[in-house]
Amino acid sequence: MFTVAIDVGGTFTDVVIFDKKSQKIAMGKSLTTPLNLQTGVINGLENACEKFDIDIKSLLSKTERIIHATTQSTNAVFEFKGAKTAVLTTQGFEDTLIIMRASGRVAGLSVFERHHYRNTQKPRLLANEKDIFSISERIDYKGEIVLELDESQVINIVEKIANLGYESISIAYLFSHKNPVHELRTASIIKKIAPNIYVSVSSSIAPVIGEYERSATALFNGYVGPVIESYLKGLEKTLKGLGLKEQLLIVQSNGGLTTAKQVTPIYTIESGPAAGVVGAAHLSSELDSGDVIATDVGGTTFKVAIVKNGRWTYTKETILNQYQLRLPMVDVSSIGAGGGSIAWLDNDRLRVGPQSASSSPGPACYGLGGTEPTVTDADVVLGYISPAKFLAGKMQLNHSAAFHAIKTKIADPLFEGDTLRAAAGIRRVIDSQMADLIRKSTLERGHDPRNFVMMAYGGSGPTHAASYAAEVGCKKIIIPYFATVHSAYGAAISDIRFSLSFSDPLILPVDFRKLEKIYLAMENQGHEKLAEAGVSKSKRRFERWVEARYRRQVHNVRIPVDSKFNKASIAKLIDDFNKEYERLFGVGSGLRDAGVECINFGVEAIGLINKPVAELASKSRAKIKAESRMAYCLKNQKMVRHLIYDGPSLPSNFELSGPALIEHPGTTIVISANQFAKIDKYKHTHIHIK
Amino acid sequence: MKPIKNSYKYLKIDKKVSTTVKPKKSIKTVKASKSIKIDPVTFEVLNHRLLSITEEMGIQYMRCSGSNVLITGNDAASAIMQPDGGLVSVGPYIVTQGNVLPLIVNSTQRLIPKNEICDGDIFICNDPYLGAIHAPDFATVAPIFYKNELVAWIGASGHQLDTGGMDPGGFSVKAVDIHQEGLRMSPVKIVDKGEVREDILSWITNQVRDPLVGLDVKGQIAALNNGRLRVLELIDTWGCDIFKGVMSKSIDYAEQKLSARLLELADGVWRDVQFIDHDGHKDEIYMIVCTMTKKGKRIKFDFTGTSPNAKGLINSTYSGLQAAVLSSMYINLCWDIPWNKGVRNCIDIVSELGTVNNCEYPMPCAMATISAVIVTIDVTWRCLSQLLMCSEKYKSQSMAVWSGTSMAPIFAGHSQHGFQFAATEMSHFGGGGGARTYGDGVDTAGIVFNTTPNMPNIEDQEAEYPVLYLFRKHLEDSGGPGFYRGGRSAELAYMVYDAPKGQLEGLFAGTGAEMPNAIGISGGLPGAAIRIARFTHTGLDQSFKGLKRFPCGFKDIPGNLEILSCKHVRTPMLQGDVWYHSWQAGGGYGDPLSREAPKVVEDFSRGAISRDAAKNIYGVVLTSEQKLDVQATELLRKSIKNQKVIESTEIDTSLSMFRFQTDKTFEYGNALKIDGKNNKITCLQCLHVIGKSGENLLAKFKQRLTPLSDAGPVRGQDYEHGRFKLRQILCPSCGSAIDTNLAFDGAPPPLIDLIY
Repeated sequence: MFTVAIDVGGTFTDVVIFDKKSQKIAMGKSLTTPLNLQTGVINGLENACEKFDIDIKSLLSKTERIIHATTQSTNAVFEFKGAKTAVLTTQGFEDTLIIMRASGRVAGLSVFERHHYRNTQKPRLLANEKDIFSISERIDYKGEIVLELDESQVINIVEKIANLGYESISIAYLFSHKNPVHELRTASIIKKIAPNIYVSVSSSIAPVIGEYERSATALFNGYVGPVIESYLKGLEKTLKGLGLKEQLLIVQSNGGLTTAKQVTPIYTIESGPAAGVVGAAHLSSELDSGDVIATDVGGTTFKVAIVKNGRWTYTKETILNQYQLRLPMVDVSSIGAGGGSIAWLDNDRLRVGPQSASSSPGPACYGLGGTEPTVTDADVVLGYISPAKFLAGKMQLNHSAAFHAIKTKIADPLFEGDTLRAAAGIRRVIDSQMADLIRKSTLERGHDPRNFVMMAYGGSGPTHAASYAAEVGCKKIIIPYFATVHSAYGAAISDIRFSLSFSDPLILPVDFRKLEKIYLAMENQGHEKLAEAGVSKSKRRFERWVEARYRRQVHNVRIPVDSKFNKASIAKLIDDFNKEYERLFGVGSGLRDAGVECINFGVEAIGLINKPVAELASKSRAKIKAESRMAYCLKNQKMVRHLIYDGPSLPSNFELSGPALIEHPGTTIVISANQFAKIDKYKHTHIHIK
Repeated sequence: MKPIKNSYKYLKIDKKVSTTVKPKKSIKTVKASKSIKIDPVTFEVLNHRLLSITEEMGIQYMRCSGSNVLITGNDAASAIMQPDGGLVSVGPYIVTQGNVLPLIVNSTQRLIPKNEICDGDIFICNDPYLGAIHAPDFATVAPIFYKNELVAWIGASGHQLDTGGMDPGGFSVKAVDIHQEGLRMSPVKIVDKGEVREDILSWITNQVRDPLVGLDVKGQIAALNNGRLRVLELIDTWGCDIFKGVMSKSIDYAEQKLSARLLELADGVWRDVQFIDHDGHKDEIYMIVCTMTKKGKRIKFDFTGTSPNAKGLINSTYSGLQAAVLSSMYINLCWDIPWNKGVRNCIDIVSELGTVNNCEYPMPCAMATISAVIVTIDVTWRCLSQLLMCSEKYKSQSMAVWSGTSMAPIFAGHSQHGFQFAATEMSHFGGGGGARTYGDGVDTAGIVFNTTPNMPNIEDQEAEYPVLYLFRKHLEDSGGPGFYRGGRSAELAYMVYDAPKGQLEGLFAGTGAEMPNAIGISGGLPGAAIRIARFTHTGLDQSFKGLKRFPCGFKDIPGNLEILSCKHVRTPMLQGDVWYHSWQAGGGYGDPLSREAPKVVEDFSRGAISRDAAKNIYGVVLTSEQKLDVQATELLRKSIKNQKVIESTEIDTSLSMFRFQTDKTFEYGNALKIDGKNNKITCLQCLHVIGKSGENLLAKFKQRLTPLSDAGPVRGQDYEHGRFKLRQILCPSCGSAIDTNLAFDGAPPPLIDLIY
């Protein structure tokens, strides 16, 4: 029987198949087909099938689990291909989604972009004034009704909306997280009048305080809802037509799975990177590696996440297209830096990024018309990437185009024509930008990067980790065997997970039974959801958390809390909060006298799955073959001869010293002069930095 | 009366200062200090690191602050500086605050004996006469020593909830001197060789009404301690010479890049004037006059002609003046140039001590940020925009003035959670953006001095404070009309709700009610002014019994309307009363009569403009089905323009100048074509030849003075004293607007004298 995981990314669709019987693994890759993602999915599956020498039908008919991470919602949002969506809001606050708390002009932009005032503006609106309808109703901060819902107004407006051809309606009233009665009543009126219109209810999607973020989350959910529903239905139908018997499991941005039937559409956004972090967390536990900084270097972005004690953290705010959303989402920071980042001159300064050549026209060495020198071009000139073996030899790179671009654009004006020095400079600059983001992400979260192991994946992660890991002071790097399809791997080992939350500011101390009641209600809801997903009782786990702050302070800190509250729990909660606060912000930074206030309560309802077993490396050393070629040595600052190993054939416990390169289909692992590497039994590469 | 005993303390400024930084000399000294050559890669790596450390300090500080002004408004800054205070990098929050940290370093070094500035020390200061902009901005600076050598300073600054002045919240409307504005610290050691001085900390918290101030100061200390470690780590790895070299190279780079940009732009003189209404005591108008001279690679801002010190809190000290000029330069010319000392090196500032934006001790200045400083930004902004507008290459960077002022609507009392509070309603941080030469201004874009604007959620406000909002939404017709419209501002109304004592107190400190400050360019009209009102006897009580719907706009609120002064002293907010305010929007670009008619219809259908404005200001006629009536519109536009020509008068050419001396060919906004080659200047709308190079075109143009209401509602009508007029400079042939500004008795008209 097979476990199949499919991750649709911006450029590639990645597939990983685990065969339970042979304990072998097949990886597949195809180009993502944005117009109809299904095509890329089928191509990717077929590509992976080749390695097992079976056809797609026999694969799917023998599949016991199939997991899917999709960019469909991301595409709908960024390409404005979502449903025509109307919004219902509380009268008097109908501009909330247009005002965007003013921060919508710059949300998610870098410091440099924010400095260019004139060039900043609010994003293209998913719903403008003409799509927004106000309803007379009002609930206060305690959840008490101040003004009754004007139902006849709702009926009139919904009829109008239906006549105007809207496919979706998002409802977001003030304080609905405290009392959803008006939203729910409105939803049921819509269901009656216009049963075909998709309805997105803010108190169900994002039951947290803060009307702008809650409204935006509901709007995005309404916008992608119909698209995701029809995409998943279509894909499931296709796969079932090809023999699939199991239901499709969908990866969510919270790093867990749900069934296609239960999916909340907006929760699928950016689910690929989330699955990557889950993969990193799983590996860190499996390898007992200690805490991990998970880094993903792709063509345009560099992503960083932290895994501490085998756990990832959640972000409090998600920014999509400059809208600020509240989603249960794995905390991943990113900057525009990757293989496609363009090097350019700014007077006599060497700048790299944030502009990217992306995949079209791509770096100069792709020979697809790109003339700007990029990081990938530098990697080619420096000998790290073999032009003949790029993407497992599927694409021949043009070394002289890379050389020419760097020479004319960078080396001649700034490095006295020394192209090698220029290429090394480009790499140095981008690597230190990545190192700065790693430092910032770890320090901001109260960690010291030197105590972490660096895990690197994505097409360019293994090529650059040797530099940025050393720069932040890590002692060890792990390159997963699945580095180029890491998110698909993460998807395959993800558990089912529903993130439930409830917002109700409570000042401590309170009677512990009050908190227990809040959590029990969420856990009951969790039981229902897990049961619906087919998770048996023995496989269900619940993790409780709270987001609290010192009274009158603005920033919340999330901490885990007792799984069952007793008398001592409240004191422990306060104590844990104090500790975490001081860890994050420094001893004495909290105003304890003001008291602790709980803002949001949450439960992670988890359905454990049996993780597929990874393929073992051979023990035979017979097949080791090493070629050699010239590549840049950072230590001596010149080209030196590097040994080149064929990654997939390396046996377990094989050791090698840098400078050396290990080539895998789709990526090259760089091992610098003062580093040595060891292959473990699962074929992962461990690099030690002296 | 100046007490002589401590006059040595104040920033040394001569009566009339020209703070020229001699360019050649400064470059030389910088070069001399760095014998070390920094290769481009090392520079790039370390420069990025310094910026990243600055940002981290800011983030860390803000995360542990308890000040809602600071956090919702991002009203804070962080910086890394050279040993003499030269600004190297500044954090991405309130631009003006970062500019003052160098002055605080300067004062610290001047007032504290050298041997008492030690490794591990942190100094705190909030004296506007020693570098701060106003007393609520507490700043801390820390020297960084490496092997006993002072190698750098780092600093953090943030707006505090209270300063212990006459009124809670820091804005004392009736203050007559700085001593009534609360705690005033000259540089004091708050951390002594790594040890926090609890005595100083408790002295500070003892002086202010809100204990959160203490927490905030601790946040600054934590941020600086971390920043210091990060800088030291960097020096350990790279060496001290490289570190110092990178700092000076970063400054040189900014200076060289800005100099090169200035060289590309036209030379000339631009003059503009801006106003502040009401000084807290009297309904007087103060003007800020700026004459900007750009020659070669230098630019001079001369404020001669500015009104004398005000009696009340609207003044700014030299710190605020310099911060304003720098902010305006950063935004208008340095979008891709580091915001550091290199920019300052290209600028000369001329100003007379004892004027409203360079006030003399002991004048009060608590409102500086939201009056004299922001208005100084406005006046320099319009000069710079017009300079950019004359360049083919940089025209797209030109932009009308943004929300020209800011405000502090303060409400205080006992909260539903049982504690005393004084809160500032921060929604006005969504001011309208100025129109651009290629598109409309951004609605609720922010306030110019803040790179990262932020308005609070209504739910957070109501959960925290005993108030209930009736509405908060965009203000119709607020965006300055133009070929491209200025961004809209918004309006809101709230009432006391669930207050244990049944009432609160309200205070208001704002600028720009009698006249708008967001002036347009190329004939665009100004955006909305501010308006503050109270409605009593509304018949609304807390139960809202029997109410079918809430009032949802200014005109919809029941009860007795009372327009409040923009400097409104503390008064009770009673149960059932509705408090209302709206703030400034962005200025427009180009004559609104030339705006594409379908865009006007779209604005109308989105509720951005009223039917009246569509007709009277844009000349667009709508059919009964709200569709565009093409023919009627064409006729109406023609007749409005004709009428304007008929009503217009000659311009007194002795007062001002509108002259282009050039042999180049370019367009001035979308109003004029300057054809240097054929030596003629024509109206871009009707192609009428107006004059030629070197002539004062004011002799050819016509002007039309009308009430401010011609620019739309809420342009000061509610505060009308007849003191301001809208002045439109028109093409004598077709009546299209060339420039639109404000006329005020005794104020010099704007001037342009360009040599290109």
